[in-house]
Amino acid sequence: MRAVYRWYCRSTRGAQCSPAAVAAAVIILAVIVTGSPALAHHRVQVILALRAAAAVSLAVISAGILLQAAQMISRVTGTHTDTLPEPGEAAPARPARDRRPAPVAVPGLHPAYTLRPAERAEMTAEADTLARDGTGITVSEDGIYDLIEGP
Amino acid sequence: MTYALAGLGIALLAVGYHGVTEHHWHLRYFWRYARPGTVIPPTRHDIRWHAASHARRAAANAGMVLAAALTGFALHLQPRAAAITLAVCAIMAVTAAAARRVSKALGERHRAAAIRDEEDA
Repeated sequence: MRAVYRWYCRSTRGAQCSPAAVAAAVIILAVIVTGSPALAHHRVQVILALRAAAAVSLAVISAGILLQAAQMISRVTGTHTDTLPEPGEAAPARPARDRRPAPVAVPGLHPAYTLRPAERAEMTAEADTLARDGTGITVSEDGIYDLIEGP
Repeated sequence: MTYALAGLGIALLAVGYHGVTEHHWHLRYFWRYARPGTVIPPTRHDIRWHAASHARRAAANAGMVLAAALTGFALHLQPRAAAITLAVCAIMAVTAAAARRVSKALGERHRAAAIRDEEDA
């Protein structure tokens, strides 16, 4: 309702208006209408309509508050989404934040972490050394299952 | 009575929202029985409510208490109008969330594979 009123205000007067004045006007008008002698015969219906309008407004406001609370919680993405500086690079005062959630680690389906190129090269070199040193350790892309199910 | 009803309803709503979004109750207790191979993602303790600061949690709790008070007052004033308004708001919220999800999925499908791999790496 506030958004509709703001849109109306901007389109007609080209100004930002606070809905407080309208709310006050509506309340004063309601008091006048309720106490008006001309509407004395319909006072019950008028009060009923005003109560319904108040109930609808309060329900909409409470739904808006709940929505705000849900959005406030869903915006918490954790500091792990901060983009880390590369080694040697100066850390920014406010780190850039990647809003996408980190991929879910399912054992056997996804790696639990991502290797940096330097780390990957180091591990590959280590694996090559192990494969050639004659200790009998088999390094395979199939992982440990290759050893367990072996010949 | 109306205030207690509103408080109970909002507490149940909050528990359900938390359970579904963070503990995957819909997969764990319902969908898994329909499709036994369903992978249930582990509960993450580094995002959303589990990772929220005390201040943020307190603000969310205060908001829910305020919403319960307002809803209770609305139900007290005019039960039928308040109930209909709340039902309409709930339907609108669910519909908007579903539409947003479908729209996001369609956008994901049309993202070029090369760009997607590069961005997700």
